[in-house]
Amino acid sequence: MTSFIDYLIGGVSNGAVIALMAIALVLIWRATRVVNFAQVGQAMFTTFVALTVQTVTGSWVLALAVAMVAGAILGVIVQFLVLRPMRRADTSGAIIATFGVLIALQAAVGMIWGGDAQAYPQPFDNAGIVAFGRIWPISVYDLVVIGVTILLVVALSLLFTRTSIGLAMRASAFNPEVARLSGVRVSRVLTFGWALAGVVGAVAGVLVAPSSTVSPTTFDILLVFAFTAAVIGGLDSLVGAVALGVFAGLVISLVSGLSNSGNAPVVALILLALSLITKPDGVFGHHKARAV
Amino acid sequence: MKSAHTARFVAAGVVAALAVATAAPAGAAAPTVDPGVSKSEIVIGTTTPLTGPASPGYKFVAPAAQAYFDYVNANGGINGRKIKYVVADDAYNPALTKKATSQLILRDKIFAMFGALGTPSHSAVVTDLNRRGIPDVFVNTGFSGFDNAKRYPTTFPYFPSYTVEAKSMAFYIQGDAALNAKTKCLFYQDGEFGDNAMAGFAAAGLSFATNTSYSSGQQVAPFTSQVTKLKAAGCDLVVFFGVTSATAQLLGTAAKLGFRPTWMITSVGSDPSVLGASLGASTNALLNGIYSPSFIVPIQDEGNAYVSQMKVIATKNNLPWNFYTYYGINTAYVFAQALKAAGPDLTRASLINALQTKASTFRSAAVVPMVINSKSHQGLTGYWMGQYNASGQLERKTSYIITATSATTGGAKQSSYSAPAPTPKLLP
Repeated sequence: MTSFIDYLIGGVSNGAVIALMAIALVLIWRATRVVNFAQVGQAMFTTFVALTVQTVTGSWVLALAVAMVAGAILGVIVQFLVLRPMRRADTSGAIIATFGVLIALQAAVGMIWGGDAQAYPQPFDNAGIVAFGRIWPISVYDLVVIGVTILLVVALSLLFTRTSIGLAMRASAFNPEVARLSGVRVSRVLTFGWALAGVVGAVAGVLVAPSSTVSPTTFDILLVFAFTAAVIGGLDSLVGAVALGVFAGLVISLVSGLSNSGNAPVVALILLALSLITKPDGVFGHHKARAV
Repeated sequence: MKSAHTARFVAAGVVAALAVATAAPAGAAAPTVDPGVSKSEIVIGTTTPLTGPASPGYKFVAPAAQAYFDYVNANGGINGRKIKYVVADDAYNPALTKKATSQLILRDKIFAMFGALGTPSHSAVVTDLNRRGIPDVFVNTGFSGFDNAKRYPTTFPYFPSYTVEAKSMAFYIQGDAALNAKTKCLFYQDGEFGDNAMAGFAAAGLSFATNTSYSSGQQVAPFTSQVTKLKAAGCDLVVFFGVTSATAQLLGTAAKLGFRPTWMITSVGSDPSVLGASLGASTNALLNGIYSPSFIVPIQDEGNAYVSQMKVIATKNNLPWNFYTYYGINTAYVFAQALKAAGPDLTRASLINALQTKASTFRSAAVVPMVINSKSHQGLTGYWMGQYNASGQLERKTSYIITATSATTGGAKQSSYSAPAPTPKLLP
């Protein structure tokens, strides 16, 4: 029983990172109906930028800030160079294009920083917290990860519900034609969405890096879990992305502990299949009644 | 009807006789020439991960072998022929290995494969190489399945297999009362790597209180769950069979959870220079006291004639001096001796014959005997047990060596072997 609780606790911070990556996928899906497979590539790129900043300056906060800015810029670049020229193509073409961007980013990172897995320095104490006479599988750093995730989710929901750009984003996603007629500059709003997703992805990358390593392909598996979480969550629901992201973290931890970790992607796939059969619009998704 | 049949039969006979008559003189004038061998050159190829998740460490193996071949070429080559070594990056991805191997065979027309790296990647091409009769020499993996002279007559492993390694570990543990009394647990990489190890432990009669595993490439989830499981089971000796990047993650996670068992780690998973890239300044402290087997002269033993000369070759080529460059140069040295032993009329058959009849005369930094004959392609046959000291060096704990076969029954045994000195100037 103690180990069961330990597995659950150990899965939360990993789940938080998956949730962030799922949010980034959802942000872009809501705005453009494109699943951005390049998201992990962008996050990996910005994490290498952060690593460089951290190595030079030694400041984790500065590295995180630079990664967020770089994430926004990279998101805009990808949207301008690849997605915008393809806006008249059908969405499957655009989705495949994002795969191309992922491969290009992996190659670019290999050329700039090399193909080796590199260690990302641990910014906070990563020893398990000692309380009630035992060591718990959660560290101060894990709490920072969870805290940053909560902050970001709160900030995003305020942005969507309390600001005019948030309203414009929701309007553009709901009905671009009507939004345009009401004076919303839809293409600018879309670009802002890509920038925002880039920021969220960048945060996820920097947060997960110290528990793993950074290399051109390290984050690929993160995409599998984030994508699963986003789809089961309903693809257009931020709440769904967060809930299912954390749930995915718990499932991975439990499966790895109780059976073995090779089964985690398999379980993710089974959950995805079950969810698509029983709730095709996702657990938190809106029913597509409006799509006449 | 009958006469027509006879006439056709006779005609066929004449055609056949003519064919034999025209073919025979050509064959007699020039002995069979295999692809990749000319008067001045031998073309050999390899597939290896220069990029991708498995590349840390492993990416140095082929460049180190190249450095040794350059050294041989600069000193006159082998029987007058220069070695051309074509290195193809497969990123440890079997699909890429297939493509790269086809290119080596069809475009580069290689005479032999040398030092192809990786169990899953090489498994994808081993049948094809054997079907084409291409010598597949000194595969860089400890997978025991490649040691099968009947099924893979042209494939020759070099490393002692993971099964032999597991048996050697079991032998050492069983012979050390303090270690044997501990609660022993196993943590392995899923797939043939781990299966090989478990087969070895089972054959040696060593059982574990619990075991857990990880799948290769799973980097995002740290090993929290696995370490939690080992900790909950009260393990105080954990044997780990995984790649070096996973060792780094394991030691990091264990430190986080305050889990401090005695570790015993596979020889392919504990290079301090690679661990250092992931674990940073704490590497030596984390490694201190960890048991790991080895089959070669300790790398820090620079008074040794093999180590000192190989280090010079590595550093002259701007390569770091670590386990991977050491292995790369050492294996290339043995291969060069095999090429030399195959004689001036080098053919694929003569190379295979040299390997199967003269392997015991080949010299290398390995301190365990090599067994290759027409029935067994085992390669190196054993290990010594070592333990890391506080400065990150693997110190030899056993003056004897532990040898075994890759068979699924029977354990290891203690033996002794004195390795011959290197050839002059380390040339074949």
